[in-house]
Amino acid sequence: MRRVYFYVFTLHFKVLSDMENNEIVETVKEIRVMMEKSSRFLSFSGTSAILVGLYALAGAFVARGIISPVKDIPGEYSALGWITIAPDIILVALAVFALSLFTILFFSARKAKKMKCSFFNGPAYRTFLNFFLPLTAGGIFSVALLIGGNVGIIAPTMLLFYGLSLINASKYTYGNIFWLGCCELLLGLVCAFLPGKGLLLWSIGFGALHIVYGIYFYFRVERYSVAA
Amino acid sequence: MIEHLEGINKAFESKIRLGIMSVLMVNEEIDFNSLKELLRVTDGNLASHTRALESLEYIVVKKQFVGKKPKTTFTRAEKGEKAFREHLQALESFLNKMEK
Repeated sequence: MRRVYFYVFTLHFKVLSDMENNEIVETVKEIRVMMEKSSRFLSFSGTSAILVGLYALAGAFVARGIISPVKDIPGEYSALGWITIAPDIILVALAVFALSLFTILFFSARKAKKMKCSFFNGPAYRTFLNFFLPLTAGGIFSVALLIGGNVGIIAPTMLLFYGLSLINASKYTYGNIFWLGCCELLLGLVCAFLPGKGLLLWSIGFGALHIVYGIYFYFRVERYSVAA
Repeated sequence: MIEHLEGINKAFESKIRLGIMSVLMVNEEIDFNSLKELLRVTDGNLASHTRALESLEYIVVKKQFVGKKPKTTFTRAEKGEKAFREHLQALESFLNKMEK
């Protein structure tokens, strides 16, 4: 089926180069819109990605304040100190996560309303399921690492699991999310080799990358969307 | 003009029937209400078009009960898949001719 999809996709662009607006051009365009609308979650909004990036940066800033007293020497952590601040760190992380989720859902619902389609349809369900399955595993795993005092590998773990979740979900929504996932993966691997730079790379991955992606998405996808 | 082209399938002249087939090419199955929303048509309108496609053996209609509510789902049939591909090819060959 994927082949038919790409076939129609290329056909559509072949058509775009020819400015003559006729019946066949419209027909091919309609086929493409129908295929895309029925199989992909398209009410994602770039604005929400920018906001999520800002929340992450704010969260990282707060976390830095909580972490600095127990981070005696750069790159080395005392396991004892971490147990005492673990609840605060989890609270900050959960707050950023909850706020991000709310923002994404709110903007998606708004966009769906604008596009006059129901927000939680089949493709949306498949996107969220495929995104949250690996992500939930990664989240629980990160909590286990924090409780166990293995704090040095939490940041790379979060980046890696998040990247995999995005790649997994990209099949059911905008394809370009695949590349965001790859960037997160790469950053996670870099982070794994750079002890002590966890929070910095986490801020780049969850903060800066989201802002860059959101801006890209707004200018490249949302303004020229066929389905919108 | 579209109806004078070679290989163009009369069954797909209607935008709704073309839409139904497009959706079923990329989805294993779809239920009546989702399809209705995607195509923005009325119940009766959609029903008559799906009946037409069913009688051509292009799609398979499955009716079942979820609790007390009847649920209708559609899947593509082999014959419909072939017809749709041929229709696309006809569109493409026309576009290629236009480019020359």
